[in-house]
Amino acid sequence: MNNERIPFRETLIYPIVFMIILSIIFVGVLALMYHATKEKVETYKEESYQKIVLDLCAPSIATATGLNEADIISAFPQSYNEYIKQTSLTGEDRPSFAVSIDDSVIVRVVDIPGKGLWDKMRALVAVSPDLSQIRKLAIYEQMETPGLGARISEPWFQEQFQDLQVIADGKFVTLELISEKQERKDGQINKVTGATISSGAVISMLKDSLQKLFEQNTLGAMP
Amino acid sequence: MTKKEIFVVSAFKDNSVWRQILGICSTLAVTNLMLNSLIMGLGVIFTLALSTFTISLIREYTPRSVRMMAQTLIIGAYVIIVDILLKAWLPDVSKQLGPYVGLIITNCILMGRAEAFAAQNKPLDSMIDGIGAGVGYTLVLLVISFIRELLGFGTLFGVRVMGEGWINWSIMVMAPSAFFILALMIWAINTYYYKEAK
Amino acid sequence: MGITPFVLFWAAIFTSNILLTNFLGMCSYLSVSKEVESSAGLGIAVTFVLTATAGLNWLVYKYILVPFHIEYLQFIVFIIVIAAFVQLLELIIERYVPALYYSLGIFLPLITVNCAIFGVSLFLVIRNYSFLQSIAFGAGSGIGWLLAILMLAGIRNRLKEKLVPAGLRGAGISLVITGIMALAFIGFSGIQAVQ
Repeated sequence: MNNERIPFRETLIYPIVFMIILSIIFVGVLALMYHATKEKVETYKEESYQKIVLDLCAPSIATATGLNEADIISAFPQSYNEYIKQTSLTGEDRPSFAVSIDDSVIVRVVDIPGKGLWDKMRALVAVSPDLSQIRKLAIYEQMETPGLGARISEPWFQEQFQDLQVIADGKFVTLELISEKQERKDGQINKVTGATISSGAVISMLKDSLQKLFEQNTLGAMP
Repeated sequence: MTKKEIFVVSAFKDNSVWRQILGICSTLAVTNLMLNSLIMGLGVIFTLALSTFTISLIREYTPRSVRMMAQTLIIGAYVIIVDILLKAWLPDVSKQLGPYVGLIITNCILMGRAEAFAAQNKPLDSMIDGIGAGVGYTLVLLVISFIRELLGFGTLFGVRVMGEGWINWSIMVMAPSAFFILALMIWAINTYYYKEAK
Repeated sequence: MGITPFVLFWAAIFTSNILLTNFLGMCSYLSVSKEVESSAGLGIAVTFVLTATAGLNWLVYKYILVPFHIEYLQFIVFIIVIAAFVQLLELIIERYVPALYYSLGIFLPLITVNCAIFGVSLFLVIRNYSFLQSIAFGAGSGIGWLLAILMLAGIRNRLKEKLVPAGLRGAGISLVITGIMALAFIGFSGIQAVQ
């Protein structure tokens, strides 16, 4: 007959107690760290977003005011607060922005959603005031394969959409995807090698959103 | 074993990737660019150091029945801590590492070192073993990504190296190339490095 | 999401094969594929765990993580759920089907660190799948993994080991074979089922 007390460590309840204590300690540390840094992360996210909007509008602002584009961008946040106003467009529940100089809108920025190979993607697009021409594109959220689909965020790919007339006769023009190395003609876009789907997703995203936006906003005055 | 021996064995002789065949998933995913490999490698080294140290510290108190769950919890917690720290202080790096953070948790190397070494050895030794394993792993990643980035993009760490007329080897951009390069690496190492053991 | 669970199931096996397209679940795949029988056993176990944990983690995410705003803990919670489930499975198998327990041996605990299982749970959160879609995705991914490991085991069995250079035997040649299979599966990507 065993008269000794079983040491606590070998009882049945010990593993459960152990795991509970361990979980509390670690999850506690995690929760603390998460909340301590939450605000910082949020602020950073908001600033990055605003910087992108500013960067998209800078060329148009430069043309209209004669200021230097680089100066406009580096004068964040003052330049952002001075020029960029948040507006709303019909049929849109996402943010959109507009820059007005002397009471006339010179450029708009819309936040559009898309679907990539792995996950959703989001882009900010600077468009002409009548929504028919893309001025500048910035894909700011995507989860495509790094080194492959993720290359749609590279400058050379996005630059192909600069000053691209996309609405003609009320409809989005057809854009053909060609291989990365080929010479590009009007109506063609060089895709990322090995990432046809991701490249196509960008075009689909632009087409769906801009077509809809154009249709819903060509009637009547826009804010 | 001396501390130095522990490190060398863990990083080279008993290398987690080419010897123990662990950590393969991430090896295939991040080796397209050297920068990604470096970031991933550093993340793994850091997490390995912290987790092996902690697991070793409480090894006397950890009951056998929940051993793996406890290790999983600790490893997972440190990975998230690294993720939070990056998001707050190095947000640009965090964006690069983003998709890979999850991969670190299931990186078999972390569990492997915990089970094989940290569960039975002293904290400081375990940490050195962990760092050694991480360094060995990072080395493998860098070698593979060196080849893949050079031939697939013509750059190293984003810096253009190959001349203007260089035609990128598309296959290097795709993941299967990592399989082949790793196989060749293992072949070379088995043939030359382990010659004495045969 | 517009994709029916049925289509998702087939897509997970072929066009988005968790191992050959997403490269998850490599470690145990490479080590276990020496024998066809153990490969089949492990593959079936993985499929079972995948389907169950996909469903479980979906429930945990929707009814615990989101309401309490602790989504950032999903990594830990998911993997604990998986570890606990595998542990439970191990106990049940040991008690009720001992023959299976002995033949699976060490591979049962190995399932816990199979990145494919963790990856599937993460994916279903990212892609916002419904409960049925998650189950279909989990089951399909499991069968896809099973398919891949059976193929490799089959090929390795047929391959006369003597023809393979000494340094390449084992892991080396498995990697090459898998690389070729992965390339072949890229051919499936023209079928845009899950995009």
